[in-house]
Amino acid sequence: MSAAAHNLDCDLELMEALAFDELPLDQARRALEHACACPSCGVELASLQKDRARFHDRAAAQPALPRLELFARVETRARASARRQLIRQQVATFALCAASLLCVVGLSARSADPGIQLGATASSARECPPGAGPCGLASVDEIGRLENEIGACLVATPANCR
Amino acid sequence: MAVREKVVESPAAVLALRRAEAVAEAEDFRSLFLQHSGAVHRFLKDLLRDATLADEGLQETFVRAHERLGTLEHRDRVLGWLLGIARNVSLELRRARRRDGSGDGPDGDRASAAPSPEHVLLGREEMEVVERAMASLSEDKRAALLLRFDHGLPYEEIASTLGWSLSKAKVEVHRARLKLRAALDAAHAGEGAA
Repeated sequence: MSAAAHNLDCDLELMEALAFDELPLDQARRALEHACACPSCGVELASLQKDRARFHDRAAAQPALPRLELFARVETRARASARRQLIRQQVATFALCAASLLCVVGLSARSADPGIQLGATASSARECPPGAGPCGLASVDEIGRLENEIGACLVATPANCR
Repeated sequence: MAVREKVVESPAAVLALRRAEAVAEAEDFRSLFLQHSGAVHRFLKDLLRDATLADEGLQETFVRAHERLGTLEHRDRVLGWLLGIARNVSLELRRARRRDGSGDGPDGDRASAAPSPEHVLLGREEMEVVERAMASLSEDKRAALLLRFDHGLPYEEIASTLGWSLSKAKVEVHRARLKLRAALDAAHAGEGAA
């Protein structure tokens, strides 16, 4: 019995790891020494090993599967599924392409219409008569006349204020 | 190097490579099935308590595995990955069975009616006790116990397979084991008294 075995605290998780061969060799050796020295850990380890063996026996007693026959069925279903997936992907791609094409055609039609030009700027606005303000707005003289009539100075034309 | 690039660039070579990849993938899948179908089938049978349904579940599990083979990150965790798919399939099959009204309840009614071939083969009273104790566990506890003791998965993998935290996986396995042990002790005590 080594000193390490005595120093090792009782650790049920360690016993389980030992029973499931999950410990590195050195740690497994120390845990085993502890289990041999410690009655409660020894009982726990034996119980875990027994449970594991019980399941192992149970698994070993299962009847053999007709694996090749089952595999043939799985393969057929997997191929059919892959085909369906491929078709779904193709349909999705086609739908995406069609939608993109429709967008492009729609946008082209809009930009071709002179009434609703997309990037219209001030330079493209229709021509205005000389002396008039920008199209649709009153000229400076008209605003001056309006100021005289109402006796007020409009902020937009401070130069004309009297 | 230049030759290799030339070979890879040639359409015929690309086609041949793709074909070789497809063959390798098919071989890979075949060996995956042959290696793990027994464990997956046993897991499904334990969860569903119905051999016919387990057959169906096995096929569905591997069809899904085939679809998602590309998403498998850790090749060394393939069994846990397959059992995770199998568990989802088992839940779906059970839901479908419930919808159809073709039997439900605490599963195991059908299985416990007659001794299974493995019981006959083993001829062990203890196996019957184990089966009864397993049937009395909730689906979650049974799955956790099976993943640990039957399939030997580490707790980290059990947690990720069942979508639990590590501590929950440990607690559930421990509780299930205590319940199983209590059932076995009770059965042995009954034998002793008789």
